[in-house]
Amino acid sequence: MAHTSDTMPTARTDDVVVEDLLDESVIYDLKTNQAHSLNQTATLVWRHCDGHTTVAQMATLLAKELDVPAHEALVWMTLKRLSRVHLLTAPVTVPAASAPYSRRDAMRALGLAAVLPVIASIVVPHVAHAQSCVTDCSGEPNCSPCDPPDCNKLCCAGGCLPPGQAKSSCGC
Amino acid sequence: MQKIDRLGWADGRSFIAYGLRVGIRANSPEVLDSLVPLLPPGWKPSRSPDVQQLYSLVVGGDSARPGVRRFNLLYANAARVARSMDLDQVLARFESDLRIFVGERAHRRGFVHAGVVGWRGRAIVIPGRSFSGKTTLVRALCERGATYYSDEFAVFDARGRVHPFPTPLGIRDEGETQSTKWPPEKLDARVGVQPLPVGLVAVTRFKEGARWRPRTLTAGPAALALLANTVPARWRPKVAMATLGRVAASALVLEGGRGEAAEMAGALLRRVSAAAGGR
Repeated sequence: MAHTSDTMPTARTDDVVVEDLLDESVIYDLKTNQAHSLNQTATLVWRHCDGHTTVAQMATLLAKELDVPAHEALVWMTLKRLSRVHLLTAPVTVPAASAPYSRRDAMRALGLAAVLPVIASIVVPHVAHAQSCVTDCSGEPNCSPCDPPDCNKLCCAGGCLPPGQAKSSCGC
Repeated sequence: MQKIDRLGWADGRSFIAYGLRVGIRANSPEVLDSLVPLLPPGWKPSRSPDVQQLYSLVVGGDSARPGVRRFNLLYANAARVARSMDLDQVLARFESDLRIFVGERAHRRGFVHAGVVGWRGRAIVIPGRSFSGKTTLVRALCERGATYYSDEFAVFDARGRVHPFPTPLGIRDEGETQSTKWPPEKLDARVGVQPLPVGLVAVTRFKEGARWRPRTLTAGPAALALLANTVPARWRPKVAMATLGRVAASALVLEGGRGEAAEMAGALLRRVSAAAGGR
């Protein structure tokens, strides 16, 4: 795995739907049915993951766009997050010297609280999940939400099961 | 499907809703009439027998054999979707399944599980699943003069405007899981007719003792909050994302827990009024 300033990461383009929203973006991963929202910093890094832009160059670009000092650590932090949610074609390993940061470390060391990368994720609901929740699963299609008021379970073969069991038994 | 076709049907009808052709048939003409109020708002009768979804309702009840009762059965095309001695349960299942079908496949509309009211020419959208308190909040807003659009779906067009879906409100008494249907007229509420641009999206859930102190969501998290409640999200992700993105980028989106609906309703209306310049 690449982990130097010359690293040129590449964003996934297969099986993703990207929606640009002002400075941010939302990316739907069709393989996992997860959706991720990227804040401005994460979006900028993501957009420059074109296989031709190095980490060092990204740091310079970020500095210009965000009006902050150039820090490769900020890029590595972002790449780590993008890698974690499988939005890069290959995983990246952050060099130990570049970014051993938790968010708190980053805020303390970089003083860049406002520009730290933020990626929020959800599992996009199965169609039945976006509907009403039932108390009785008999006669209900598999994967309908059940067990009000929390509705954290799914119908499976007439029973109301935790999501993990519903997934393995009924493919929810 | 052939087995179902051979059962013998007393009557059937077809209709169009949101660009979709749906048929219903039953072994009892009377029960067919009871299905009509359960159809989506804006449905129109169709003469075409060619449909995309066919519901077949077998009314059970007493059999010729003494002491034997037959189940009521509901099929969606060839799949059985309900089986119960209680006909009302089967009818409720018909309504629910039909809404899923329409919500997932509607032409040129994106369905988000949400309550919606109109106020000062703008829509207030309250996304959320069942038991999140949407209907209670919609009711509180209507009691303060907001126009009723829906307590179940925000129906978005490609421009991000919300169209009315004014089904009866499903009101639940405290602690109950079953709801009672209230027509909007029972609240003395006006019912929306025109599509509205979204003025405010309130992402919230009732929590005992909570105060409404929301934070503003930026476009990305706002889009996720809507996507989490979008019916056709997996079926048509590109269309869903484009529509929701438009809404998320233009509307004020607030997130936070809430206590009593009355308090929050007032806060929401004041917020929209302020944004609209008090018009």
